Amino acid sequence: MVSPDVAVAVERLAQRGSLAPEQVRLFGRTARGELVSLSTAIHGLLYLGVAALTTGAGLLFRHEIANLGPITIALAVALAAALCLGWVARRAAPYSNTLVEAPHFAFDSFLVLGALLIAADLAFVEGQFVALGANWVYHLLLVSVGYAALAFRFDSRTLFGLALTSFAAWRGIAAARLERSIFGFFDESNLVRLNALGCGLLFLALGRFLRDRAIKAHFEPTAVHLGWLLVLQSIAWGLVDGRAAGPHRFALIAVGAGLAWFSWRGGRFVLFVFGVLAAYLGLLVTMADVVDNTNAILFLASASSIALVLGLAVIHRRFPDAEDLQ
Amino acid sequence: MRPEVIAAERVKEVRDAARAWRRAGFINEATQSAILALYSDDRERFGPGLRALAFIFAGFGSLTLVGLSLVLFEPRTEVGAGLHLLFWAAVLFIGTEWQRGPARRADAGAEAATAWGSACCAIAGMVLLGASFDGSGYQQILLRIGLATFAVSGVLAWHWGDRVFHAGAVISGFWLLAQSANGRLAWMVAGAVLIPICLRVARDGGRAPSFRRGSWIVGAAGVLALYAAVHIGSFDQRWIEELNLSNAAPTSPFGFRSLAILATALLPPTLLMMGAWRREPLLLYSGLVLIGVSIATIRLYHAVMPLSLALILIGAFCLALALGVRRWLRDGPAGERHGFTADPLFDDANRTEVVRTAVSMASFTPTAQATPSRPAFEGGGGQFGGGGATGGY
Repeated sequence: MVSPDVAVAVERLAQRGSLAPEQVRLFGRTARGELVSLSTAIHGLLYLGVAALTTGAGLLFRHEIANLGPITIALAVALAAALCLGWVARRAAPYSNTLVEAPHFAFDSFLVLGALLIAADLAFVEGQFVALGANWVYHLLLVSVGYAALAFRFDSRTLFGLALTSFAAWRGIAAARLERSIFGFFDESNLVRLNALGCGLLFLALGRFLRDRAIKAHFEPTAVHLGWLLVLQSIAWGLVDGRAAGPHRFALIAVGAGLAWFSWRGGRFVLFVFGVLAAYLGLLVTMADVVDNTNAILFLASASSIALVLGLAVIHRRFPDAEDLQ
Repeated sequence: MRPEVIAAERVKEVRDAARAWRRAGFINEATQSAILALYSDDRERFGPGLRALAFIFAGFGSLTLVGLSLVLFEPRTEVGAGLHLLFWAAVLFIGTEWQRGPARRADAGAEAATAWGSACCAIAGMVLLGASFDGSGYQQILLRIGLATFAVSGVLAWHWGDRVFHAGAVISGFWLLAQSANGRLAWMVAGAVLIPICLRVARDGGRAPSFRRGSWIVGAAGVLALYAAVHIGSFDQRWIEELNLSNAAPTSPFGFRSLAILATALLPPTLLMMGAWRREPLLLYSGLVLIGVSIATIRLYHAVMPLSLALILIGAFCLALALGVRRWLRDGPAGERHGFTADPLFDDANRTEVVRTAVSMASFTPTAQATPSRPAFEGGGGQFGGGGATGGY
């Protein structure tokens, strides 16, 4: 990024001997705009190319389905996916439990493209040949397992996130379709909520497991963030749920406050934000219900949020060197 | 802008650069600490998490406070409501000034929220005040909103330098230009004038960093406005004229359509070439994006081949271009050609010869020897510690 201030600072640091001549040259050229990175443009072109290519192929298949036949199309997509994943496999470093640097700048793009093509091909086959029939929802589970396998083998956090969301989607749809017969006394919304809660807890446990066993420990934040989002969301769904609203509000305040407290102590600032927002939402809904007066609600909402801002300033002053504050 | 705020912004630029150099492995921990000590920050800044929370709660608190005030005092006329909102705009403005001045807050979330709140109240107040004088027709209200947004955003962009106010001012400004008798011509002239001015300001060390970033946004808007004004599809579909509230018929000069066809084809590559010549990312990126738009436009007017085939060809061309440019740049001496490199300069991934040279040279330079036994910075003419880099790549 061009910055005249940095250019001046580099000269000053050079005079003080803080930077070596090669560093001065590089930093100075960048700050003066004499050396420009085209990395963003190249990555943008790459993503645009992949998007245009897949969209074009999709349109071609849709228009030519009558001429080519579904088997040809399914095989062609599978071939494209195999080419992508074959290239990835050829380039990939051996498996390791720790973080593995991508061997090529387009490595993750081709990996995700190959995985998405496989998923799309599976959906196409399901649509054309009705392979799983009424149990088509297991398609999502299959995709989730496939994504997870590729994510661990090739060290892709993008695919790991997709695997978790596909799993959660499978549970969400399965809850509405299959489990009603087993838990007949629940209504559909309760089932989905319970499944979201279960998925959230499962993801939290998975994150903990990965971190404790040092198996792709850098995947842990993905699992934990998604897990807490699902847990808090499943509780928040019950905030206006008739007789059960009270316990849900209390639970949201307690869980949110607990999450904020422990995540702050542990330096997990994203989770801290989740916790504070959840606890405040629970508190606000409870206040609005108890007070039942527009003026008082507005006053309490305003006063509480301003108090929270002041509280954040106090927290910042107590922990000025925390990582989030840099 | 306050001088101390500008000074703090300049310091932050250097501190951010030092952290980026450290992340990329260009300098070691001791050098980073020395730079941060030399360019010490006197502002209270929050990290992303706290900043987001402070912004949300301060914004929510301000809005509910204004809402409570409106409910309590119940202004019965438009003038009363307008004055009420202008009063709150002043209160929030003073609150923002206090935070940015005596309280020395920057990037803390709350000061941005109160600034936005002040702007919203001022715009709403001015619109309501205006309504009491000249009726309240739909077009009049829209025009007042545009004028108020332009005035408030312009003043606040000049005073605080926030990017959002620059964006608000330039968007509302172009919308107001579209209300003129020949909006398209006004967009062309304004775009053509704004681009060079903004590019010069964006590199002017005498300006505050926030103002330079704001100029970049205004320049980008100028590029888009110029392209929209000369674009053949925009001309045929009357996009700019449609923005005119009076729906006045455009007075297009004779032969303008032919010129628009030429301009649609030629402006994007011209921007790209100028960007490459001046090494200006704004022109370079806008040129690339607009070339894509122009190709799509040509395809829209002349369906030379089926859409699916066109997309496949475009996709393959983009992929080949991306890989080809990257390889060509990387094969250049020290991983760069004509001042361009394919790699992210201050990132910890995919570093090439540019980085390797700097790191290896710096590591073997006498000045790069770390001196952990003494403080990194010595006052009174002392020296910094090492300027070496890690060898962690």
